[in-house]
Amino acid sequence: MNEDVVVKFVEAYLKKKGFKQAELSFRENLQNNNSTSSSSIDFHADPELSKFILSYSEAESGPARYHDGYSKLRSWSYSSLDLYKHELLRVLYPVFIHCFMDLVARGHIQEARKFFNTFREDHEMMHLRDLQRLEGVLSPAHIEEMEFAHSLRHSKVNIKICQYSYDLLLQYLHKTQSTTILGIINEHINFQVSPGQPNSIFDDAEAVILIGSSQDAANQINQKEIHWGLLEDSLEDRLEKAGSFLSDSEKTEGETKEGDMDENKKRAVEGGKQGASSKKSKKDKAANATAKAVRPEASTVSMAPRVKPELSLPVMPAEVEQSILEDLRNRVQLNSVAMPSISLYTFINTHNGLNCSSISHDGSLVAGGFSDSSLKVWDMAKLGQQAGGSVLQGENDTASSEKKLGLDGGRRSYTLFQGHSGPVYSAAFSPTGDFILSSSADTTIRLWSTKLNANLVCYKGHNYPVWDVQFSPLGHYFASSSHDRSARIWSMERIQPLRIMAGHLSDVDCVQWHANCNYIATGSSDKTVRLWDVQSGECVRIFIGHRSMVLSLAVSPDGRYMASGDEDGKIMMWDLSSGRCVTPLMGHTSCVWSLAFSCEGSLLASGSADSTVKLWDVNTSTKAPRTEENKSSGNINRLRLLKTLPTKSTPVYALRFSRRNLLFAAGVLSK
Amino acid sequence: MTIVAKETIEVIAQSIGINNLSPDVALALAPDVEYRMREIMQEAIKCMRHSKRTKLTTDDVDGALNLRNVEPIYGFASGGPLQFKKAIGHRDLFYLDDKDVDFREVIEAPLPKAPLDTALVCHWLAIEGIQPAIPENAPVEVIAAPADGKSYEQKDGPPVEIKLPVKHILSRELQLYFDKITELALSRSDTVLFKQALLSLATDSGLHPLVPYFTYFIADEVSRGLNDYSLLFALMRVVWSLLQNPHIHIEPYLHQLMPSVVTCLVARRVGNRSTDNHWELRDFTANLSAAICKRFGHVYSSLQTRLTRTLLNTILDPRRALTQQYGAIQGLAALGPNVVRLLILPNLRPYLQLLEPETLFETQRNGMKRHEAWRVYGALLCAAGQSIYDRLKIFPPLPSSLPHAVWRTNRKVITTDPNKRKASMELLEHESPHKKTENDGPPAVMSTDSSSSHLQGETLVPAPTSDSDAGPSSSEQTTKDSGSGSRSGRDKSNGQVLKMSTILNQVWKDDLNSGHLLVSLFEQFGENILTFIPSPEMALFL
Repeated sequence: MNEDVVVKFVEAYLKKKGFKQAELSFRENLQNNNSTSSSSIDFHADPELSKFILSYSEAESGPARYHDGYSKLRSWSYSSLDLYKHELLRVLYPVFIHCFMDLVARGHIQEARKFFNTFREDHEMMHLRDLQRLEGVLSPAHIEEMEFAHSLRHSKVNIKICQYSYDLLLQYLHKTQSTTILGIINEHINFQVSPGQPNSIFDDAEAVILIGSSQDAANQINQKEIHWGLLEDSLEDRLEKAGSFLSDSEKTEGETKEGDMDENKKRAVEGGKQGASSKKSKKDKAANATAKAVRPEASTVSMAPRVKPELSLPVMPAEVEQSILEDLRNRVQLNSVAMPSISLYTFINTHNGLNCSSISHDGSLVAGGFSDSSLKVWDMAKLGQQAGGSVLQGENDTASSEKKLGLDGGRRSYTLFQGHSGPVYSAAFSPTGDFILSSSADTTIRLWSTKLNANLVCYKGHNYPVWDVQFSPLGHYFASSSHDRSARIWSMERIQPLRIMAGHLSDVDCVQWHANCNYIATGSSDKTVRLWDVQSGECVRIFIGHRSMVLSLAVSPDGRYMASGDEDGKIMMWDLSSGRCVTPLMGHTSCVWSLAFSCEGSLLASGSADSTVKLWDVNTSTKAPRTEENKSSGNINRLRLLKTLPTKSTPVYALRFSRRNLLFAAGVLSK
Repeated sequence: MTIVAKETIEVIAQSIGINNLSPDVALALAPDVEYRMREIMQEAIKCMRHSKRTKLTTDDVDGALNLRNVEPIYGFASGGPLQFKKAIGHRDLFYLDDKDVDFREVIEAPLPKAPLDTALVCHWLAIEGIQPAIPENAPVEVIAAPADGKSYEQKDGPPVEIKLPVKHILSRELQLYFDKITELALSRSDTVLFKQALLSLATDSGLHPLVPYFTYFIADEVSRGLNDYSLLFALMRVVWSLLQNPHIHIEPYLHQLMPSVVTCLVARRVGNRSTDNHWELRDFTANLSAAICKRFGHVYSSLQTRLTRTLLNTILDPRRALTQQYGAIQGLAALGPNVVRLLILPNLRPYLQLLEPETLFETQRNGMKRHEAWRVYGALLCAAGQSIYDRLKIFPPLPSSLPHAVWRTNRKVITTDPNKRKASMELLEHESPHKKTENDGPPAVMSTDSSSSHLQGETLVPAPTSDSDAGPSSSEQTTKDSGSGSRSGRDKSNGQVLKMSTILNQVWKDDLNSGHLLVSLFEQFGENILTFIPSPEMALFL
C-alpha cells in the first residue's frame, strides 16, 4: 500500500473530523518520521480509518466478494461453538442487510437480487417485514428515497456481545482477509463488548431490532424521569373516603366491621390502589381472604404515588360525579378467580364497511365508523326495548326481525352522523358519553354531540388521514394520531392543536392517554411505542420490541404499566418507569385490535382478528418480578393466559370495561 | 430479475401509444415500477389494518393511491373480494371473469332488494368468565377439559396454579331442564308442553352435557316401562328430537340408545292394554332406527349390518310373536327398498306360507292373532311393493292407450304391483274392521281404522298410479271383495296371497336380471319399447 495515500487519508480524516490539534501533531510527526520505513499508526486501532483504507483498496474488485464474504461468514458462524453461536449469528443480519444495500448502491442490481434471494431465508423468521420492505429496493435512488433504508444506512446497530465472541469474530475476519465484511461491520455495527459469559439466548429478541434512531438515543430518552402515579384527589380517592364513611354508617355485623376497618386502614396505607367496595369485601369472605393475602405485598411495593396534574383539568358536574361514585362503589372485584362477564355487541349486515367501533363507558352507546364516511351510534338501552326477546334467537331470526323493524317503522335503529368525506377510522366517546369524536381519512376530526345528534366542531390540523383519536380520561382534552407521523393534543374548545408530538419514523397508528392525563402513549408502524409528555410535548420513553406495526395500546389504571398489541398477535407489557418490557403475552394468532385493563388493573382483556377475546392475569405478570427484583432473576416468563373466549365468527374490534367492571366487546360478524 | 418484466413495460407503453420505447428505458423503468408498486401496497396494507380487516381490498389500494395523491383506479367496487380465475394453459396467469352485461336487461330488471341495514345485536359472550352455551356463541367443546391443565404444567413459573381436569359439573339450569323434561316424558307426554319440550330438545344448543343423562334415562325407562305404551312413545320422541338437534354429538351414545330403540321396535308386548296402538309406535321406531342408520351409517359401518341382522333373525325365527315380526319387517322396510330386496324377498315365499294359516279363520280362531297376522301381511306387502316400485321406477309410466293385448303378460309384471298393493290394502281395510267387529267389539275399531288409514297413506305416497292403469285382476278383486261377505273375501284374498307371492317371486327374479327382462321385452315389441326407455338405461342395456 502506498504510504502517501495513507497519509493523505489520515489528513483528510482528521480535517473532516475537525481534529486540528491532532492534525497538526500528525503533520509534525510525519515530518519527523518522514525518513522512517513505515508509519507507526496501527490501521486497525481506528475502525474508521481502516474502513477508509479498506474501501479504497477494494474499490475495484467485483460484487462477487460480497456474496463470497457473506457466505463464508455465514458458514463460519453456523459452525462456531454452540455457546457463542447465537451471538455470532446476530451479526449476520446487519451484515446481510448492508451487503445488499452496498450492492444496490453500487448499481449491481442483479447481483443484489441474487444475493438477497440466496440468503433471505435465514432471516425471514425474525425480520420478515423488514425484508419485504427492502426487497423492493432496486436502485441507488430508492435507497436515498426510502426512509427505512436511509435510516439503516446512516445509523449503527448495537449488538451486545461477550468478549470472547468478539475476539473470535475479529480473529476470523483478520485471518480470512475478508475485508469487505470487516468494512461493513466497522461501518454499521457498534459492538457493546461485555466481559464474561455470553448472554442468554432469550435476549436475542431485543438484541437485533434495527431501528432508525440509534439505540443510544432511545436509551438516553428512557433515562428521563417520569411521574407515572395517579392524579391526586381523583374520584377513587374520594371513594376511599366515602367508603370508610359508608362502612362506618353501615353497622351490620360487629366482626365484619372490624375487618372493614382493617381494610380501610390498609387502604389508607396503600393510598389509591383502588380496592373493591367495602360492601363487596364484606359479602365475600373468601375473596376477602385472598385479597388480604395479596394486599400487604401490594401495599409495600406498589404504592401508586400521587402527582399533580400538569394540565388544567375540567371540572365534572356534581351529578355525573355522583353516578360515577355510585358505579365505583358497586364495582365487582376481578382477579384470576373472579372473571368478568362479557357482553358482546355484534354488528351484522355491515357489508364489509365497518372500520372501527367504540363503546361508551357505561356500555349503553355503541358507535361504529364506516368506510362510507358515516358514523352510526346505537343506543343499546333503546334497542333492548324495541327488539325485545328477538335478539336472543340467533342470527337468522335477528336478521329477519331487523328487516321487520325496518319495514314496520321505516325508522333506523341507530343515529346516523354524516359529515366526514372519507372512511371513518376511529371513534371515541367522552367519559360522560355526551360527545363522540371521530377521525377520518379526510384528515379531519369531528366532534359530535349525542344529546343534540349534531356535529359541533370540525378539527383540521393533520395533513393526512387521522388513524386514531382518544379522549383523555377526564374528558375535554383529546389526542389524535395520523399518517403524517405526528400525534396531536387538542382541547375541545380550540380548533387548533395544543401540542404536536413529532418523532415517529412512520405512521402513528394508535394513541392512548396515561391514567393521570400527563402523558400520552403512541404506537407506530415503525414498530415502536413512545410515551410523550403532554405539557412539554417531549418524547419521554421509547419502547422497542415489537416486530410489526403496533395496533392497540392500554395503560393500566395505576399508571405504572402499559400494554401494546401488534399485527402479529403479540402483546407486550411495559414498565413505564424503566421503559422495559415486563413480559410478552403470546397467544393471539392475528392482529390485536383492542386492549383493555380491568378497573383495578388485575386483568387485561385483548380482542383480536382471530375472533377471540383473551383474558390475561396481569397481577402475576407485573407483581412477581417486583418481589423478586432483589433476586435479580429478571426475565422469567410470568404471564398467564386465563381464558380464551372464542366468538362465533366475530373479530373483536373494541373492548371496554365499564366502571363496574363489566366487559363490553364489539365486533362485526364476518362469514 | 424483477417482478415486473421488461416486456411488461413495453406492452404498457404500447397500450398508451408509445411505440418506440427503447429497451434501455424499459429496463430502467422495470425496477422502478416494482418499487412504486411495493410502496403503494405498503400503504394499502396500512389502510387495510386501519379498516380492521385482514383481507386487502381494492378500496385499500384506492386509499393508498389517495395518500400518494395519485388518481385512484376507477371501476373496481369492492363489495367483496374479487374472484380471479386461472387462465387455462398458464401456470400463474389469472384474470377477472367480467361478464358482458346487456344494458337493456339491467334497465328492465326490477329493482334489486335493498340490502339489509346494519344492525347491532347483543349477547353474553361470558358470564363471570364462563361461556354460556347459547346459539350466538361458538360451540364449546365440552369434553376437551384436560387440555388446559397440561398447558399450565409446562411452564415452570412458581405461582402457577395447576388445574386438574374437573369432573364436569352440570349447571343448575341444565339440571332443572333435565328434571323438567324427564318429568314431562314420564307423566304428561300428551300435553302441548311436551311438544314444546321436544322442539327445544331438537333445536337448543348447549344440551350436549345432558346427552349421557338422557341416554341413561331412556335406557332405564324403556327397560322398566315396557308395558307403558305412552311412556315408550314419549321416550322415542325424545330420542328423535335428540337426533334432530344439530348441536349435539350423539354418536358416542348411540350404542346405549340403539338397544332401547330396537326394543321398542321388536318387543313382544308393548303396552298392556289392547287399546294401545303399539303398531304406530313400531312404525315410528322403525323410521327412527332407519334415520339413525342413515345418519351414522357411514361413521359406524357395523351399525346397519347389526341392526338388520337382529331384525332378520326376528323375522326368520318362527317362534317369535307376530308383533315382533311386524316390527322387524317395518324396521327393514324403513331401511330402504334395497334392504328389502336383499333380505326379505328371498324369504318371502316360505314366510308367506307360514303366515298363511295365521290369517285364516279356520286355522286361527283367535281374532287378535289373526289381526296381527294381517298386519304382518300388510307390512310385508308394503315392503315388497316399495322395493319393486323402486326397482321399476326407471321405466316411465306406460300410457294406457297402447294396445293392452299385446303386452298384457309382461305388463302385469310392471304394473300389477302398485295396484295390487292398493287393492290388498283396501282389502285389508275392509277386512280388519269386519274381523274386529266380529271379535273385539267397538273399542278396537277406532284404533285399527286410524292405523290402517295411516298405513295406507304411507304406501300410497310412493305409488302414484293412475286409475287407468288399474289392472284387471285388482279391479276384479275389489269388486268381488266389496260385493261378497267377509268370509268369501278372505278366501279370495288367500288365493290372492298365493298368486301374489308367486308373482312377487317372479318379479324379484326378473329384477335381478332386469337386463334380461328388457331384452325379452325388446324382442317382443321391437323398436316400440325403445321410446319408453330413458336413454341412459338404453345405452346401458343395448
